[in-house]
Amino acid sequence: MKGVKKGRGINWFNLLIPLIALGISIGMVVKYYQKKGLWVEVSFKDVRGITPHQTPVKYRGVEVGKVEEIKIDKDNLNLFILRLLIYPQYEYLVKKGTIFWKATLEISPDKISNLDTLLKGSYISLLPPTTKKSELVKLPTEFYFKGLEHPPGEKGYHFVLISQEGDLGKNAPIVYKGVQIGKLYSKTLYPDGTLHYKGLIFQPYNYLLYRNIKFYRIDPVKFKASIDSIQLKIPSLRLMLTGGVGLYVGDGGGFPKEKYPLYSDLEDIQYAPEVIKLVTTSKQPVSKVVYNNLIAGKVIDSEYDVKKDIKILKVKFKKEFFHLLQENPYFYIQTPKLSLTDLNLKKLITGAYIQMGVKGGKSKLKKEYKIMAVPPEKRGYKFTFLPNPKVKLKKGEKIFYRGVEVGEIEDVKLVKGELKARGKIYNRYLYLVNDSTIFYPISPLELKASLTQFSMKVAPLPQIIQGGITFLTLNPREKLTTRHFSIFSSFSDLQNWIKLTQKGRVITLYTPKLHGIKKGTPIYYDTFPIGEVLNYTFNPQSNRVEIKAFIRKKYLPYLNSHALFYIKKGIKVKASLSGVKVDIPPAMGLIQGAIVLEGKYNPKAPIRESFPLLTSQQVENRKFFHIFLLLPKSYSLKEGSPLIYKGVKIGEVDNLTLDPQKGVVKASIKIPNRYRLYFHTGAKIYLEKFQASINGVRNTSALITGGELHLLPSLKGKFKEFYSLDAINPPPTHYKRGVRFILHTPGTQPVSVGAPLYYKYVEIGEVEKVYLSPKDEGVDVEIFVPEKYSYLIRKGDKFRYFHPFKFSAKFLKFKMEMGTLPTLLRGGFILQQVDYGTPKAKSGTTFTLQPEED
Amino acid sequence: MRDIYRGEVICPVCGHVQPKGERCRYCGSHLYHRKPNALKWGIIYSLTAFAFLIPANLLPIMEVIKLGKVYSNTIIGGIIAFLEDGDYFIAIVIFVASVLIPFLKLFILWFLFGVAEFDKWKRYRRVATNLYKFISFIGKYSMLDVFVVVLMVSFIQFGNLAEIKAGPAVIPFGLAVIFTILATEQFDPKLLWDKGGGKNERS
Repeated sequence: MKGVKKGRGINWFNLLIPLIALGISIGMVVKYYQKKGLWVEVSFKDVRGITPHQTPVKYRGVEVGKVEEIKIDKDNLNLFILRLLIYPQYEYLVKKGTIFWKATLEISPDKISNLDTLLKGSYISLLPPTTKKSELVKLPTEFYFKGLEHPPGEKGYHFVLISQEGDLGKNAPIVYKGVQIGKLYSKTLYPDGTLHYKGLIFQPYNYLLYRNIKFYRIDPVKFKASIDSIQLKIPSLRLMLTGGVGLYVGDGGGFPKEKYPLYSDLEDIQYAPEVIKLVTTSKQPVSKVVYNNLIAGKVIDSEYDVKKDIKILKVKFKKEFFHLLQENPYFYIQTPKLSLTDLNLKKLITGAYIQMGVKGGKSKLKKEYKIMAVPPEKRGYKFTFLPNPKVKLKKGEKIFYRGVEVGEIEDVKLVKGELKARGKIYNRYLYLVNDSTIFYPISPLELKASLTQFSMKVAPLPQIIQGGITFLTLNPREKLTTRHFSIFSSFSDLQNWIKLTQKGRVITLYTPKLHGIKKGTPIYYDTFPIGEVLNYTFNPQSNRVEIKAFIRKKYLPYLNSHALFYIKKGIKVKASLSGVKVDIPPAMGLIQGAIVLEGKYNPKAPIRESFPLLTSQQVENRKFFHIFLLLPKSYSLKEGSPLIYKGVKIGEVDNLTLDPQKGVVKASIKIPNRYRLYFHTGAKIYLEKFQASINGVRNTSALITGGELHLLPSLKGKFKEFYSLDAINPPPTHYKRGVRFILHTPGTQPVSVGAPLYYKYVEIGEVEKVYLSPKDEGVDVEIFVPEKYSYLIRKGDKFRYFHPFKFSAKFLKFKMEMGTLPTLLRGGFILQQVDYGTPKAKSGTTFTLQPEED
Repeated sequence: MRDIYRGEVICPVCGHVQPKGERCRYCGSHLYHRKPNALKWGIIYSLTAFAFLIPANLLPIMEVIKLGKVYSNTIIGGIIAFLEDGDYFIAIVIFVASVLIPFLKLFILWFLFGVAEFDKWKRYRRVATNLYKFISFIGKYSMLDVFVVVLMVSFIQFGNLAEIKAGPAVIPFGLAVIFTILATEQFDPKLLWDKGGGKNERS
C-alpha cells in the first residue's frame, strides 16, 4: 500500500485558492450592491400609483433612482415608508435638506401638470437643498426623509383658511381676477366645527399678501333661499367643477397672516361683521337697506316678538355704509304704493325696503335702531324755478346728482297761469349748486350716436320710473346767491343752449321741402360731425322751410361762398358696367338722414349765415351737365348705358323720355363738368349695340348695358346740347379719312361688309357698305381706301373679284386657288391694274367690276 | 487493484500495462497508481467552486431592458417569475440545471471525498461509484445556464425596445462550473476502492 499516494495533507497555503475565490465572490456581491446605489427611506402618507421596482425617482425629469420597496411604518399605520435606491452617480443629490414628493397627474382649472404620469404612473421627485454641486457634496448624507404632500416647485406662501361652513374640493384653486394664483392642498375638520384648509399662494403672486386681502368661497353652484330673496349663482364653468377660493383685494395694505377667515361669498366681504337690529312694527317682508338708492345693508335674519308684536330684523351693513350708523341715522320702510298719480314701479319690482338716511352729526353706535313710520323732513336750501312751460314738475319729485338724491321738489303751484315750483337742495349737498347751476329733467334714455360710436345711456332704474330732475353747474367756482334757477326741458336743450352761446354759430338753411330733417339731424363735413339741426320753421312768405343749424366754431371757415349743404339719405345702390356702387352716407345718415357740407376751407372769407339746403340730386346737377340725344327709337339704350370716349366712360344715360309730339326718344346723358370741353359743335355720337350675324358677334358688352354710346369730340365751337345719332354700329373705318368709291358688281360672288380689297395681295381697303344697285340687277359695294393708299385709286383702275376658292380643271392640268380665311367668309376684291395715266379718283367715283375670265 | 499488487501500472493515456516507472514505455505519459494529490486538489477546487456559487446566485444573471427599463433578475428571481407566470416546466428545468445540479455536484463530490477518506464510509463505495459516473456524465451540461444567457444576449438585441445583457452573475457562475468540473476531473474514483477493500475483489 505504500505505493499508493492518497494526496492528502492539505496545508493552509493550498486553502488560499478557495479563500481568494471566496474573497472575490464576496467582493463582487458587495460591489454590485454598492454599485446599485444609495438606499434611502422616505415616508409618505399616500403611496397610490407607486410600484416597487418600477416607480422611478426623478430629479427634474431625469431618473436618478428607483422605488425598491414599500413598507408600512411600524409606529404609524397611516404612514408608508418607501425604500428608494438612488443610483450611484446621483448619490450626491441626497443630502440633508433634500426634499422628496410624489408627482401625480394634476388637473387644475388652469393647467394639467405631470401629464406624463398618466402614461407612466406616478413618480417620486426629489430636489436637493442647493443647485450647486460643490456645495452639495460638502453636506452630510441623510438616509431618512419625510415626503412632502405637495410639490415644492410650487414655492409660495402657505397659510390656513378657516371656514365656518361648506366644503371645497381638495386642490381647489385660489383665483384672483380669473387667474389661478394658488391652491388648497389639504383640509381638516376641527372639533369646533370649523374647517381648516391649508392653502398656498404661488410664489409669483406673493406680493398680493401685502395688500388688504380677503378670501371668499366660490361655490360650484350657489343657491340661497330665504323668505326675503332667492339667489342662484353660477360661477364660471371651470370653477363649477371644483369650486374654488376667490381672492378679494381691498384698498390699503396688509401683512401676510398665518390664518385667514374664509368668507362665504364675495358679498360677505363687503359687509361689516356686526349685526345690527332694526325694530319695526311693520310686517312687510324687507330684505335690504337702501341709502341713496344704493344697497347699504341686507337683512340676514328676522325674529318676531309675539308679546310686543314687533319684528326684529337683523341687518348686516356694508363696510362703507357702516359709519352712517354713527351719523344719526334714521330708517323707514318704503312700500310699493299704487295710485293713479304715483305709480312707483320700482318698489313694485323690488318689494319694500328699508330706506336709510342720516341727519348728520355724530352719534353713538347702537345695537338696535327703530324703524320709523314716516320719513323725517330734511332741511335744505329752498329756491324756486324760473318758469318754463315745457317742463312739468311734480311735487315730491327728487333732485338727483349722479344718481344720488340731493334734493326734492317741495311744492308746485299755479300762479297766474304759470306753474311755480319750489325746490330744496339738502344742506349737505349745497356745495354742488351755485348761480351757474341749470336744472333739467332726467331723460330716462339718452341716445348718442356718432360716426365712431353708438352709446346709449340709461338712467338708473328708479329715475327712469320715478323721473326726477338733475342739474349742471357750469362754473363750479361761482358763488351761490340766487334763489331762482332756470330749468330746461331736456339735457339736449341745455346742451344746445350751451353750444349756442359758447361753442359755435347758428346758421340758417332754407329749403322748399323738409326732406325728413329733424331736430338733431347731424351735419357732417366729409365724415366729421360738425354740427346739428336745432329747429326749423316754415316761413309762409317765402314759402320755404328755414332750418336753424348749429355749426361748431372750428368749421366756421367753411361757411363761405363755396359751401354747399345737401341732404344725404339712406343707402344708394347704383349698378353699372363698371361695378356696383353702394353709396353709404355717414352712420347717422343711415338712421335719420344727415346734412352734408361740402366746401373749401378759407378762414379769410366772410362767413355767410344763410345757405340753401339742396337735395343730393341738386348737388349732382351742380357737378354734372346734361346733353340730350334725340333718337327715332330707344335702340335698347337704358338708364345707365355709358357714353364712351377712348374706352373711358365719361357719362351715362340717366333718363329716357319719349317726346310724344315729335315722336322721338330723348335720352339725357349725364356727364361730369370736367368733360364739358368735348361737347362742342361738330361733336358726334354714335351707337354700338350688340349685333350677332353670320359675320360675327359684335359689342358683347352692350348686351348688359344695352348699347354703348361713343363720342367723337369736338373741342371748338359752341357748346352743343342736342345730338342725333350719327351712326349705328358703324364700320370701323367709318370715321377714317380716305377715298370711298363705289364698285358696281354683278353680284355673282358673295360680298359682305369688311371684305378686303387687295392690291398685289396687300390689303389696301375694305368694304364699308353693300347694297343692291338702284340701276340694274347688280350689287353696289362701297369700298374705303385709307389715305395712305388713295393714290392707287385712279379713274382707269380695274377691279375684279377675289376668288376665295377657285378650282379649274383643264386637260392634264389642275389649278387651284385658295384665298385667305377672311375672304372665304366675306369675299373680297382685287385691284387688278392701276392706271397711273388717269387722275386720282375722288370719293364717290363709281367703278364697274371687270367681267369674269373664263 | 491487481496492478498495485503486481507492482504494475496501467498507462492512463494508452492503457498499456507495464512495471512501475516514471513514464510509459509506449506513449511517454506520466505513470501513476492514483492521481497525485487527488483529494487535496478536489477539495480546493470544490471549495473554490462553492465560493463562486455565492455571487452566481446573489447577483443578477440577466438584465432585460424593456422600453428603457432595466429588469435585472437573479437565477432564483427568474425561477420565481416563471412560477408566477405559471411556466412550471421551464421553472423546474432552470431550477434543476442552474441551482440544484451545481450544488448537488459539490455535495456529491464531498461525499465521494468522504468515502475515499474515511474507512467507515467505505460501505457506500458502490453508491459512490454510481454517483461519480453520474456527475462525470452531467458535467458537460453544467454550462447550460451560461449558454442560455449567451443565446439570449445574442438573439435579443432590439435596441431601445428590448435588449438583454449578461448580468454580473454569469462570470462567477461560469467559474463555479469550471471549478466543479476540475474538482470532478481531479478526483480518482479508484480511491473509493482503496484501503479495507478486497470484499468485492475478484482475485
